[in-house]
Amino acid sequence: MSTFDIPIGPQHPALPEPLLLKLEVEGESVVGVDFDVSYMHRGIEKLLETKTYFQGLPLVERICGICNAAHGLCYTLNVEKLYDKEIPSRAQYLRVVVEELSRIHSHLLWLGVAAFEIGFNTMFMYTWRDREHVMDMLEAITGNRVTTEYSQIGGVRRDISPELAEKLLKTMDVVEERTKYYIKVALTEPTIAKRTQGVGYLSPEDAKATCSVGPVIRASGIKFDVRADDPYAAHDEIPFNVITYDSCDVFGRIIVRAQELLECVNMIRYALKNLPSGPFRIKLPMKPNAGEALTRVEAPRGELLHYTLCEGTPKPYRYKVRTPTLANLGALRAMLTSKGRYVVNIGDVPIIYGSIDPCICCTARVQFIDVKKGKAWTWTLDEIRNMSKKVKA
Amino acid sequence: MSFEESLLNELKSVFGENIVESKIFKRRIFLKVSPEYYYKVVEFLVKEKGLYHLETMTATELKDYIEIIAHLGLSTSVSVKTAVDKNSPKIVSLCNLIPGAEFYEREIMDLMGVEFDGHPNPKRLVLPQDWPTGVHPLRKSFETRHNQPLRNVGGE
Amino acid sequence: MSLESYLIEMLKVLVFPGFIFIFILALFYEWFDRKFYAKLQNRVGPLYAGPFGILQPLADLIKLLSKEDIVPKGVDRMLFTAAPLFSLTLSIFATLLLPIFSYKGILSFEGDLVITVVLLTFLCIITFFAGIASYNRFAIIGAERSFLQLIGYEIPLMISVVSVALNAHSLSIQNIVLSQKNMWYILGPNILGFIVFLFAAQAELERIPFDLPEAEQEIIAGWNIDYSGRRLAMFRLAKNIELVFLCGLAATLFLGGPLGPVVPGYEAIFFTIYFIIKSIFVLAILTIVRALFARLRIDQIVSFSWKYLLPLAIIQFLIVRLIV
Repeated sequence: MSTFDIPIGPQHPALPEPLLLKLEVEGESVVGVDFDVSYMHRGIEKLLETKTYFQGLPLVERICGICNAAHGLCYTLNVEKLYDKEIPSRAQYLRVVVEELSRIHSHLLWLGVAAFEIGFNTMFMYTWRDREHVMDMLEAITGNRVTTEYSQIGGVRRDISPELAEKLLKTMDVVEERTKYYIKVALTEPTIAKRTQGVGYLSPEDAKATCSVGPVIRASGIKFDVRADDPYAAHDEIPFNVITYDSCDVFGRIIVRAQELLECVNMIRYALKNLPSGPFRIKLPMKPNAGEALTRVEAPRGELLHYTLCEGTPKPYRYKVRTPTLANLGALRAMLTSKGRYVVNIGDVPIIYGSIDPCICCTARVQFIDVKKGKAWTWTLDEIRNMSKKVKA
Repeated sequence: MSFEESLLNELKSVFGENIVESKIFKRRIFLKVSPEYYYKVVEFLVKEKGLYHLETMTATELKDYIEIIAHLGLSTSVSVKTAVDKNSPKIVSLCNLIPGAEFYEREIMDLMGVEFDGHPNPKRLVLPQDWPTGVHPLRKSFETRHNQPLRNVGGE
Repeated sequence: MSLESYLIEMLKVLVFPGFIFIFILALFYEWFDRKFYAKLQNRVGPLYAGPFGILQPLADLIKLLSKEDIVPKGVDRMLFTAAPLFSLTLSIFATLLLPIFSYKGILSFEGDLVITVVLLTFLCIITFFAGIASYNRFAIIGAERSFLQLIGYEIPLMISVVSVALNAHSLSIQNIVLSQKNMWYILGPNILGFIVFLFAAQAELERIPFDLPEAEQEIIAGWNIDYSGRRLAMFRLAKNIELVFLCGLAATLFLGGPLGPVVPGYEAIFFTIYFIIKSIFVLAILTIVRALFARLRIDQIVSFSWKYLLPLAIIQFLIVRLIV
């Protein structure tokens, strides 16, 4: 039987992000796969070298819209390592609260997307509706729904009032109840089970070899969670369970994410009830000490890594960001081409692809493109400033 | 003695002088090794110490050389650094040891122009497919302003 | 035939219960389907065009009709143009067989039940040709899937229809309706057949969980990916008319069609109302099924049909055979 190629992406209804999957297809089964993630490289690492550490934070938050809290947190923790200063523990607790809130919103969003990928639109609508509660709370705490920039170098931007904490606890009750319902649906609905069990198989050995991270590796039964292994912020004081599931398939990833939601809810409750008093921010000088720092944070999609090399100037000499999706691309290839045990059908590609919770914007991070003139170039800060002056004049 | 110190001592006893430099922080070890021993140190860490997880690889252009860092580790993160020549950067690929290194090495290939010996699939990853060869955005010599467009983008 | 009766026949075909009535009914059913589906999903659904958005399907249709007519390069032009036309014509033709305002449809003859089943298969074949005509990778996969699906559901569908015919001792729709005067078949021995028919209808209409030929997330729009403007409008209208037809057929075969208590002299009005109520009941079931499930995979659909639907249909057939 002859094979033919099917391009999935860079624009495709099932993929909200510009990834090109070149599938080699035999009838309905996938026999080969190749990626192209080059559609979205924004050159943020290069751009960060031109900004001071304090100016860099808004940019880092914009690496990804959904896990912005994780990026902001990772960046601030990383820069703080360059100063020898103790950060107030109230700030660390508040950072955990917002980080976990954003994890809830990300996981609920993912549950909806996963349901959408298998054509279960009703669940998509319901999870996204419940996500609104969380978004409202994020707005109430940080003042913004998406790019919150809550974690700042030296602490957090705002304090949380007791009334707001009370409100947040109430919202957590709603989220917990709804999550339990979704877990029940996922476990009992026959078509979900049919579409996800055994699909996208990733053996623990493959998961280790491809260095996958986050819910993907945890659904293959490996206990790897940065919050537990390399605790940051207040995670060494807040108890929680690392959720693993050993089915190694998409179903396992759904269950892991759904149960993590319950853990997040408990962590937020604990953090709010044991919130230390004291200042929520300290001032740090513009110039950090020379040195290097490496920080890992468990973003909703998995381990996020920031590395910086500082030569004692206000600007970083080098800033490196490694996002979870890049780490999971190898795992995605292993899932799509898993032979023997189960042949991947075209119909399974969207849900397998979705099961790593891809974020290509995160993955590829140098240039502006003017499609009309057919040119590609990058802009410096001065040019942008000049342009804004022109516009004003 | 903390875990980091004992690991470092073990490494020093195995590789001796080849570990040029080392720094320790809480759950972080930064090592500098000579290029010939780069693969061996990583192999030792992966096979003997069970640090199977390659977090990422970083390439930084310093004044005289390009620094390649392999960040390994689960709980404790060990960063193995080595220097490669700036003019013809070339280093052995880690893909045989850790298949997950493929994408990180491809990223460095694009952005820093380092060649990896024995890489199974040395293709573009993050740069557009029609990006001019020999232009590497993360090099310090890369100008962010160009009088001529670097590549032609279709469109009206 | 006198001029007067000729005119009346023309009016029947063109206005009521012919083309215009079916057209309105099709748009109304689409609206009901969308609105009810939205309510089930906690959304508002169509809202702005007309009261409760009831004119939204019409607005969509007009919008599509006013769009530029695009024929992509490399398509089989003749087939590409003919497929939507055939699809629309056949589905309208099929609805003429439905008994809407009396015991029989506008077209009625001995054996018209066979024609309805044939038309259903034809509609699926046209879908296949529509996909093949556009020579698009996704369209070809969609077309392939619609055929595979047909292999799955067609036989159970036929057996369930045949069981009804066996029960009524007739292959004409008129006699089937009349034989339900005392008891509807769904209340009697044909309840299994009704379930099989509903699943098959869902598959025929390409709705979740059987919407594989146009599964958006997998193959974008499947067989109709290259169709736009007028052609797409025709396909959509044809799909809606097919919806009316299948709901109506289910109502006719299992729910007694237009039968119900009537005031003498006003049979036509009462019959029409009963017909609409019954077929909307069927439509509501179809919509609930659509909201409750995830999409199945193609191999799962075929094995579902052969493992569950076909045995169910055969059991149904045997039950009827034993009773009659």
